[in-house]
Amino acid sequence: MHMESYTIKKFLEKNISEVVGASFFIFLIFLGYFTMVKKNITVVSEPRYLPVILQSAESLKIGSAVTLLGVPVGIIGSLHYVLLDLEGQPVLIDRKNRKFIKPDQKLRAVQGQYVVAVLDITRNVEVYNNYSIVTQYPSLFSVKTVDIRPGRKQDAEDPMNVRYLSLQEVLNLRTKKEMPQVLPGEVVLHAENFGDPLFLLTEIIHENQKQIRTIVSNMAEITDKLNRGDGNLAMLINKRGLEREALDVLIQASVLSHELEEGYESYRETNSLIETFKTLFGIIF
Amino acid sequence: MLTKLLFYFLKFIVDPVKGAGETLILLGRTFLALPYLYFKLGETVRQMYVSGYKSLFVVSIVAAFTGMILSLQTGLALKDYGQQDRIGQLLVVALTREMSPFMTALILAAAVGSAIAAEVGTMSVSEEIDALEVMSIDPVKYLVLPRIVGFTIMVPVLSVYGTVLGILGGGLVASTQLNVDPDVYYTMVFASLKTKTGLKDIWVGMLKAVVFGLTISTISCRQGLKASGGAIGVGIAVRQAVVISFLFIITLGYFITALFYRK
Repeated sequence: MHMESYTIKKFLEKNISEVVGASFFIFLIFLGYFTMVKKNITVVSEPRYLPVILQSAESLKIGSAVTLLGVPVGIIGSLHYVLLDLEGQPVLIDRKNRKFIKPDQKLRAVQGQYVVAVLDITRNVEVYNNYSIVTQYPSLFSVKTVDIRPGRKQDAEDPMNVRYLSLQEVLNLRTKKEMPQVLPGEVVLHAENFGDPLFLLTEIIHENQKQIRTIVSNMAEITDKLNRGDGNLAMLINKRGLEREALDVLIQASVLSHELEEGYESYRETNSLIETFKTLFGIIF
Repeated sequence: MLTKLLFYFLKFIVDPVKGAGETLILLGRTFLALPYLYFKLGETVRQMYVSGYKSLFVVSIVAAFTGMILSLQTGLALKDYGQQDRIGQLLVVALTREMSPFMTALILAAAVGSAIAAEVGTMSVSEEIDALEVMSIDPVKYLVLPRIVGFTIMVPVLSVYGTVLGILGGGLVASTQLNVDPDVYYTMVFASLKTKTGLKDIWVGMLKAVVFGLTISTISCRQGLKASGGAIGVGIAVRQAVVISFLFIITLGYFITALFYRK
């Protein structure tokens, strides 16, 4: 036994490099087996493509984040300019051939121009009638995001049959500008795109430029009058001795409050004496 | 004749095994010598300068053009599907996960790894290493430690630098050649980086760079230390260092990817 262990020790000492190297290659072979030969079954969650109709795509861009009740679930995959007919169906024009392409070839009355944003999201969303999809700025200077608020189930209401796009439909939309048809019972969701708060502020300022100028000019006039000592208020402010008189008033107010305090304390002391006598006489008589 | 064949066959098997063992033992000895790094800080900084600053130009050119090639090739293919806006996302994944650490490691293995092997090899064949040992100076602490540490620090740094340049180069080509709005490109880049997978890509890429750095520097040092037979021996050591480094970069790159991304 002793001889055996001695031999192994000697062997290890003599061939340590070979042993370490062999262990390393055996480890690599195992690693290779598990990462190359052994089958790997992965469940890949397919992305869902949710088209939503917007009034405008102002400040939105491809790659903007999409959140579900504030939780990140994807990005805006693409933005498309579309015309909607009176039934709410998209009317797309093949610009190359200058003709209407889908869903039929006839000229139809157009109710307005819209934007379809295809949201690439990682999960299926159950949407109810009281849903809302809004754009928002998480903070004043951050990039605009789209937030999906799926709404809540009311009574025995079923979730809406939301129209999702297949990958092929998304590719057709991007390359051939083909808008997929919406079948009866299917719903394409609408989203509201609120403006940029800074932009709105600048717009308000721009619209009310005249009034703002008048206000500023009035303010300037008032401050000028105050400085010059014109007007009743200015005369009052600039009156000599105003400060001294105000100080006198304050001193008198202070004296008054002090006297009131003393009076109250004296009243309390007197009252307690009267109460004592009252009690005493009450017991006697 | 048969005995000779058997001998060569065994040598063919045993030599790489022994080489791998010696390299791993050298790496282990270097780790044990880490507390002595304090005394070799100057040399370590010099090695960082040689590995990092001296390779900056080559890395810059290769990284920028890698990004541009990736952007152009994938962009042209994606354009057929109207998906060219996704180039930013794709470039981030390709560069951070694989291309940047891989390209940086290849460049440094060829440029710096070979230099380390040649330097240490020349010292070895001119018996300077033996002289150090005679003076009770451990060559691992004196020569190997600063080289391995300096080199290993600089590979991730250059890898991150390469990723940034690759993304910028890719963005340039995407906007000029593929008509992708730069705003959309960079939104995609940042959206991709900010996700959980994006952060994982960054740190796995960094881990790869560190592993590549350790691999190249240790292999180069080991080849240099084992060099013998004069100038020819140094040449063989340099060639072996570069070839073995390339093989291990690509093999370990696959294994790290498989270990971290295989579900």
